[in-house]
Amino acid sequence: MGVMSTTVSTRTNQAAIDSAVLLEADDVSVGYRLRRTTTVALSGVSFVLRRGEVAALVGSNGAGKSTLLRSITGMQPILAGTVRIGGHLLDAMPRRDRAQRIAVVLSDRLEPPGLRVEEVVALGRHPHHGWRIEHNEHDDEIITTAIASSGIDHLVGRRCAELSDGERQRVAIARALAQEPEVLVLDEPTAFLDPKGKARMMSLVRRLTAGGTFAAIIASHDLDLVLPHANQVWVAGQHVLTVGSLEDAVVRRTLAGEMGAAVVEGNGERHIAISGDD
Amino acid sequence: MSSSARVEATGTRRAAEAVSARGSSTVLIRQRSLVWWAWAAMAAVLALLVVASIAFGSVWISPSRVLSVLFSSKGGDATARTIVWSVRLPRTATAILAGAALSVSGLLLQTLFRNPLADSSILGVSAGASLGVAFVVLGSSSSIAVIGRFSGASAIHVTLASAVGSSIVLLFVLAIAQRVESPVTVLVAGLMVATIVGAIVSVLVYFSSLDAARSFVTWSLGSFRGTSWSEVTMLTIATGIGLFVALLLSKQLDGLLLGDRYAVSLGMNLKLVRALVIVSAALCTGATTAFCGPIGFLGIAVPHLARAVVRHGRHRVLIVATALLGASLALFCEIVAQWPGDDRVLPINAITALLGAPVVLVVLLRNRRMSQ
Repeated sequence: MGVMSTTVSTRTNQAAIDSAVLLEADDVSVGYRLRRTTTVALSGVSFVLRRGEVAALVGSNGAGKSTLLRSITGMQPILAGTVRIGGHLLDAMPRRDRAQRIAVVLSDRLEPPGLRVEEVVALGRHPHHGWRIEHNEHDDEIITTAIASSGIDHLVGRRCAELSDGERQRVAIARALAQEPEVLVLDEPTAFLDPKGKARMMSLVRRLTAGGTFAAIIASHDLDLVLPHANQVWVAGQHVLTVGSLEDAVVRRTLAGEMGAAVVEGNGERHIAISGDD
Repeated sequence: MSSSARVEATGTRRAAEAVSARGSSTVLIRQRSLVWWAWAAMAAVLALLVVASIAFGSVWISPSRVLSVLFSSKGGDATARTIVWSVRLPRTATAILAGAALSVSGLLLQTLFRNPLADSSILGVSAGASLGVAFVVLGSSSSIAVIGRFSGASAIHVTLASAVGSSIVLLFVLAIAQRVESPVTVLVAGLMVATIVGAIVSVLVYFSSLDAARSFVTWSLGSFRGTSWSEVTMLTIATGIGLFVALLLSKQLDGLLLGDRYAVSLGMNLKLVRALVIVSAALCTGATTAFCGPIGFLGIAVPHLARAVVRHGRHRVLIVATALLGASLALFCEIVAQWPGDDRVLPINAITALLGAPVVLVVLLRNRRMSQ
């Protein structure tokens, strides 16, 4: 990899040359435009996300996490600035091209009536074909690989609706992998999981991202789950996004101010302690 | 570390499938693309019911005579020919088309609303179709003597009015569904919309001429009988387009099953897909309602029967199976309605309700999300 620096300053030209850069935001504002009033949730958002990196997006409810994720996945227009995926402008990208580059995992319950696990995973191939063809031999291989690397081979043949929440979220991951994304966006993927399910989900995401084919953004309220293992920490609050690593003093200050979260080191591990005091 | 190694063995797994999936890389999906005997069985049942529906009636025509009338140029006697060609064949065709169209429209609505109990009669779509018909029929009461015998031109008007009425109600209920979370609330809202539209129809009937009102009420009881060949043609064209659009949308419909946000993330144009689903469902419901009156319970019950029979969730398979089973069930209801050897004809909606309502109850009791 050519660029070793992890600084977050944005250099559009430099980034265009750097093929490891998958997602790049430059002075972006996100929010809602309703008739004539514009509500800005976050402004001046800049970041660079490279292949194999995991960014943890945290912030209190209403801080604009979901708005940011919706905007960088093209589900709602950005208000200002530019987002580039693999060097291409997000705004100018047709729906299907976008879907070939970004896949999502949501907290929504994935229980399509009657569909089996492998059929749900196969839906991830949709953006790679027109409106008619569902999949071919090549797709079958990708689907099989996605199922194997998500560790759900033993679920093949079962209906999605009869799985546990944890199993279902791993099916959602496999479905997203079958999309062969450059950026995997996970919006509260562990919201309804039990502690074991949460830990397993997170280690799966880390293992897959470390493979180096894509970058991941994971938004979560489980700070202790996502922060210690993320390459980048994004803290939303006060209408700005603070970007850095967990070592950065600014990031630690913002975490303390916004979330009442402190980084605790011990036994060679890092944990996040939350204080309820104001 | 492979996480599959750590995973506990849960429940009864289909061992054979899992093993074959692990053993090779490309067997995953193909293996369940065709259950040929299920298709053969469904087609055979439909064929048998077609013959039975032509044979049974106030006069019994033996199956061999039915076949000779149908398949040889001068087979059968003149009486049998007349009965078969001018009464029983149009009736059979109407039941097949109506059953297939209503059932597929129910499947489309269940997917669109992500609600296992959605259906054109429950969501008020049939009521919207009735309103369209009422405007045309009661508005021009002089030109129509008996409902169910529209002239060629008015058949088109009635079909269009009915489809437009259906889609307006459908858009309205969909707008409600976007605002509320609970699937049960959507169903109750749909019932209320149906009630409101029904009330408007009653008022229209009250202010119309006696003849028009009488024929409208007769129509509103529902029947597959009394359609002319030109009406059957109109019904074929309208439901044919509706079913064709539904088949074209099968891939997108599969995507809708994941929920709106996942569907958008797959690159789907949600507005366009929804609009096309509405057009398809409105054509199926509208055309059927125009010629047969409002028919309940087929739309809600048949998709569930189809899922149970083909054990499949993908729409490309499910739409065809639903159409076949819907046609068969409608024919069966029509045969039962005229109990052989008896001149009385039972109301078709009573039969469809007797068969369909239990299915609804089973779905209600089984579905976790609905009963929560």
